Amino acid sequence: MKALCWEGIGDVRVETVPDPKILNPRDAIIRITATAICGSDLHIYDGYIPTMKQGDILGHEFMGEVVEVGRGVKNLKPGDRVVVPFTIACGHCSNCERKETSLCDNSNPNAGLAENVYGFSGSGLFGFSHLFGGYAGGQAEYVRVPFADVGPIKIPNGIEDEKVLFLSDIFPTGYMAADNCNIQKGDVVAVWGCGPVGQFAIKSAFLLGAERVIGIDHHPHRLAFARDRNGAEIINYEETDVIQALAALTGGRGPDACIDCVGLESHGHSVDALYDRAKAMVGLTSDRFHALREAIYACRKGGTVSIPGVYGGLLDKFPLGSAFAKGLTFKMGQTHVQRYLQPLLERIERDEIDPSFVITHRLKLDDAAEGYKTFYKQQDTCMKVVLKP
Amino acid sequence: MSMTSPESRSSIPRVSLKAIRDIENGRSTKSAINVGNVERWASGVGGGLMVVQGLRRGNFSGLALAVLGGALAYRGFTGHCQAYQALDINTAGKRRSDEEESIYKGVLIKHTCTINRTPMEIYDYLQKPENHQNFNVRVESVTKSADGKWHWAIKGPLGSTWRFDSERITDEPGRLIAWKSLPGGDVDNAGSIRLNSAFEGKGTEVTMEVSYEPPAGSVGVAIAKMLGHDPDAQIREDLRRLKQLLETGEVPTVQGQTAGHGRA
Repeated sequence: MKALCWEGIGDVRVETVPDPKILNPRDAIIRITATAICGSDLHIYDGYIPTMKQGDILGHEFMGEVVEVGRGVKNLKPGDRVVVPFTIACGHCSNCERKETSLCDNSNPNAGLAENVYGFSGSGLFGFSHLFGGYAGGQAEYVRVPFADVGPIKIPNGIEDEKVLFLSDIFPTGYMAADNCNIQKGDVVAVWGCGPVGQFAIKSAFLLGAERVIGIDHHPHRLAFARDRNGAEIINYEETDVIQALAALTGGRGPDACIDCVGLESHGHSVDALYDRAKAMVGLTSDRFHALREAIYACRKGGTVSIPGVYGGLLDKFPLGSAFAKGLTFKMGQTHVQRYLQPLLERIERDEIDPSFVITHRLKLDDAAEGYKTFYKQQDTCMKVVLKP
Repeated sequence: MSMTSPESRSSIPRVSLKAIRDIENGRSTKSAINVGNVERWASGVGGGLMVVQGLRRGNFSGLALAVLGGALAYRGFTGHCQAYQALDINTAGKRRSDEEESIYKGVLIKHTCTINRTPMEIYDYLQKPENHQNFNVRVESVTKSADGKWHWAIKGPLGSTWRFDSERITDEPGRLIAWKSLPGGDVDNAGSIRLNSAFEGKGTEVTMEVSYEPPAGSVGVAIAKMLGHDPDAQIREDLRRLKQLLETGEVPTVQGQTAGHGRA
């Protein structure tokens, strides 16, 4: 089959590789009908995620048709249409029973490695480095899905792929980011990063009852998208001081909740952002987090900072004093995708949201490497690349 | 103290297994140690490395290196040096008592995890010899005979097989299993698995303790680690696989999956 393989920093290629096969009783093999490139794939492309190996197949946003199931999978059969969560979860450990599926105890075959780095291991992830299990991803014609009896959600016929594909990651991720903010009637929510997850966070904050949502970015197209398509007020951080603007927009209180949809490769031109960049260049820090610092400073007293953006290592100059002084609540982590699949599918079926709004580019799987380049270089106009085998 | 006396039955032997075996075999635990500890370590580890390097070279000079390394490693293992004996040199200094030495030399490994199953479910699983192969990947075969003895063959370093028999010294269903190896095996070991109910609905806290007398003492442990044989990590992973099997019915894996260029 064809698959998009990571060959090194800034080097991904579509190659012919052996077809995946069933390795465990609860596995299934899925024929991919649609897959997408995620912003976090760019962290891998850019070399910010350690423990990648040459030849690793990327991709954690995908859906398709079941072609084969292991003997332990009773609820799926060949021909079923499914969307697969990017977090792999066993369904039976105490974390899975609490629906905290991205914290599954049992799905990371390299849990010992993750324990050495983080103290504990989260769930395995598709196509996201060997620290998270080294599972082959879904930017391919076929993929092996472990614990297929508890992860994938069946999609009724009649809903096109593009409407449900993003249930695999970015829609639940943006939704959980907003859900973590405990939004009350009248709340103002600020969202750093107006990429796909940011757009879903904005949309979800409104769905969950926010009065106003403010999007922060520097790409004019993305800001316009947040304003025109999703109803957000916008701040361009290259033109405006974000902290002052947020104070002005909230009567000096600050937003009730701040969502960091940027993660470990934050841009920005302030002194702290340049300091982070310089340290990252010489290997003294792994994560640049200007956006998160700003979110902490801007948030109202007693407010919530929600972090769906990916972080992997250590942070320097973290303003814990500000967070403490204001009694902030922090919520973060990979998305418990399985928890949100059914309720969000229902929202799509009720036409409350059509997640395909983020798609800007449609390519063949063969052109996936070009898709990475475009997404990487033209973040302003390229919001979401969907690949079809 | 005999391990089979009634008052000690429920306590788990910790590390003085060599002493137990030697007492049971009726022979002295004294040996002709004439090399000091630091020197033994240096000899053992250095000699071990020379063996590995020498064998990797695969030519005559490699063989010579391996032989020399072997002699050094032997000196490290046994603490006995022929040359020192001939010259009447002893760098070992004052010896500790046998008991102290066995505590010093033995290896105790302890790991704990919580398994989302009842203590009896875990106990029942452990009662079946064939299940041990599922979570302990070093077990080549294990059987249980009618007299209650377990017969083990496990993978040792460098493709070797270690054989030993063991018996349960404590067996409290749903609470505690403890075993020790019987005299005459390739590796002396003892261990226990404790099962404690966590708070209601939170599964069972499983504590696995294994102590063993490595064939070449602490030097042997260092060489085994050099050869990629790390018992501490192995027992941690054994416990993890036990949890995975009991909670999910399988051990997650990416072994044999597809990959691109140069890896497939």
